[in-house]
Amino acid sequence: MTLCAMRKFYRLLENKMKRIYVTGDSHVSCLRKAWDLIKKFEDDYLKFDFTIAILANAHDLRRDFFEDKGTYAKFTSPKIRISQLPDRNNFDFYGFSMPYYTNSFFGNGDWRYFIPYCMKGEMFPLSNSLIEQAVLAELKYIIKFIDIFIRNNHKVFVVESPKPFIDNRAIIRKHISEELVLYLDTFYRNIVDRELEKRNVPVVKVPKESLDNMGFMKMSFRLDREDDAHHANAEHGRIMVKGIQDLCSKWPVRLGLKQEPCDTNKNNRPVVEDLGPSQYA
Amino acid sequence: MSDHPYVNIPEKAHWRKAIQGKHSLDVTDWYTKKFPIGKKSIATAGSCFAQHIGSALKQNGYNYVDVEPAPKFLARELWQDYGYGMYSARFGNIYTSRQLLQLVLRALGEFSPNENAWKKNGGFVDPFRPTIEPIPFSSIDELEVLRNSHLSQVVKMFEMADLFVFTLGLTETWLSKSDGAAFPLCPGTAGGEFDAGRYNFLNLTYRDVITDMRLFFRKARDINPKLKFMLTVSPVPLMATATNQNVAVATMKSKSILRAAAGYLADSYQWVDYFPSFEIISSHVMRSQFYNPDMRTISSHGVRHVMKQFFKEHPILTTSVGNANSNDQDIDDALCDEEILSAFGE
Repeated sequence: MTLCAMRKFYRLLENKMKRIYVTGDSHVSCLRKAWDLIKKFEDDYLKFDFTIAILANAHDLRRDFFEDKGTYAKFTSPKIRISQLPDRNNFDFYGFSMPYYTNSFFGNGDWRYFIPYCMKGEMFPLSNSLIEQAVLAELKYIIKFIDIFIRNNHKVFVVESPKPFIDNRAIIRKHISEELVLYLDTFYRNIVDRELEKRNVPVVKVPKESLDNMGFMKMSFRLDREDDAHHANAEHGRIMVKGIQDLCSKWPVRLGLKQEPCDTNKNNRPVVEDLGPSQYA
Repeated sequence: MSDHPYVNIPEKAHWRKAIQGKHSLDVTDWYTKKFPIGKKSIATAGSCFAQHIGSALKQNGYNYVDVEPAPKFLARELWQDYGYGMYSARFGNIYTSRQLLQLVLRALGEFSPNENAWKKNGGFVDPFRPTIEPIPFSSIDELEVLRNSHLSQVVKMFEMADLFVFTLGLTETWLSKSDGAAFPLCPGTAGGEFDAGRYNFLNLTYRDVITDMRLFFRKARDINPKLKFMLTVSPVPLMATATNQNVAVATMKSKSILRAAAGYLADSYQWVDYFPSFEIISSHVMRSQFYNPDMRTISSHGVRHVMKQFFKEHPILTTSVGNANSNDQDIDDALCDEEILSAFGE
C-alpha cells in the first residue's frame, strides 16, 4: 500500500468518511478534474470520498430519460450507461449537476425574435408566465428524477452549473445580446432555486466572487479550449468541490427541515420579483 | 314542352338528382369557387371551427400567414394554451362581426376601448383576449405591452394576406355600455366582474352583421386594397344563450342570421366568396353524422369531409413536412461530449 493510500485509509477510519455521489450533465467534468487533483495533492480535503460520474449530456436529461420504479429510477435513455439510480451503492449524499444548465434555453436561436416583455426591443414580447412555463417544461423530468431520491429519504443536494461566459456562442455567433442572455440565465436559475427551495434541497452555488462585474463567469475559470465557451475549468471545479464538502459537513445542523417532493405548480412565488424589471428595462 | 329556367339547370341544382336516393357522403358539388386561391397568402380568424380550416390549409401546402408564430423554446403541447398556432395571429376566438370590426379598428388606432384590463386571480387579463394565456398577467404593463405588439401584428397580417377567411360564429354578444366595446366572453366568466350597470347584451340582427362586415371590409381593404375574403358559418351550436329561449332555438336563429348575411355579402361583392361548411355539416341531408355525442362539437371525420369538398375546388398544393431542427443542439452536444471525454475518458 502506498503512503498516500495509507493516509487516506486512516483518515477514512478517523472521520468515518462519508461517501458522496455526484452525477449529471457535462458540467460534472470540472468537478471530476478537480477531485482527481485534490486526491493527488491535497490531503486536507479527504473528509469525504467522492464518486463523480457523468450521467448524460444536458439535452438528453431534458427528455424522458427514466422510469420511476418507486425506490429508484430505471434509465430508459440509450445515452445513459448505468441501469438505475440509486443502485446497490448506498451513498450518504447524492448531488446532481443538472437543473441549472441554462445554455440550451438562452442559446435557442429564437431569442433573436422574442424578448421578455419588460425589456426594450423590436422583437415579439413574451409574458413572464410563458417564459416560466417554457423553463418548467425543460425541467420537468429532472425534477421528477430528484423527487425519487427525496421520496426515499436520501440526502440530496444540487450543484449549480457555471454561469455563462461572455464569449458564449449565443452572444458571439447568434448575436443574442449580453443583457438578454444574463436576464434569461437569471430568470431560469430563479425558477430552479424556487423548485429546490420548495423541496428543501440545498444548492452549492457558484460564488459571487467567481463572477465579473456584469455577472458572467470570470474568464479565469473558462476551460482552456478555444471553441468551448461553455464549460468551466478544474479551478472552478475545486471551488465547487470545496462547497460540496462544506455543505455535507454541516448537513444535520444546517438543514432543519425535511426534504419532500412537491407539486411544481403549487406555492410558486413570482419569479420576476427577484429580477427587478428596472434592471433590464 | 315550354322552355323555362329549370329545364337546363345542372344536376346539383335538382334535389332528385343531387340528393334523393344518394348516400349522404356521395353528395357532391357542394361548392363552386368564385376565385382561385393557388399560392395566395391566406389568413384565418373566427370562432373555434375556423381553427380546423387554418390547420388543414397549413397541412396541405397553402401559403398560410402566421404573424405571431410560437417560439421554438416553448413546448409544442403548450402552444394552444398560449394562443399559438390557432389562427393567423394571437387574437383567440373571434365570434362575432362586431368583434372582428372592432379588432381592425383597434389595430388601426381608431378605437380605444375604455376597459383596458380585467382582474382575475390576483392578475389581469385582456378583456378582448381573456383566455389568450392560461395564467393572468402579473401587471397591466405586461398586458399592454403584449396587446400593443399583437395589434401591430394584426395590421401586418392584413398587409400580407391575399385572402382572409373568416368563420362567423355567434350573434349574441356583450357590450360595454360606455363605448360599445364588444367582448368575446361575458364579463365575469373569464375575468372581470359582471355589472348590469356597465354591460348590456346584444343579439346582433341581420342588419347589424351586414353593417359590421361592410365596414370591416372597407377598413381591411384600406390596409390592403387587393384583399379578398372567404366567409363561412360555424356549424357549432351555442354553448348557452342569454335570450331566455331554448338554446337550440336560439342557435337556429343565430345561424340563420349569419348564413343569410354571409350569403348576401358573397352575392354583393365579387371579392367575397362563401364556403358552405355550415351546410356540409348541419344540413339535414347529412343526418348529423358529423356531430360528436354532445351534438355540438364536430368530429374529425366531419372536418376531413368538409375540407375534402374545399380541396376539390382548391387543389392540394403539397403536404407539409416538419421543419428541420436547427443544428444548435448538435453543436452543444458535440462540445459537451468532448468535455466529457476529456474528464472521464468515455
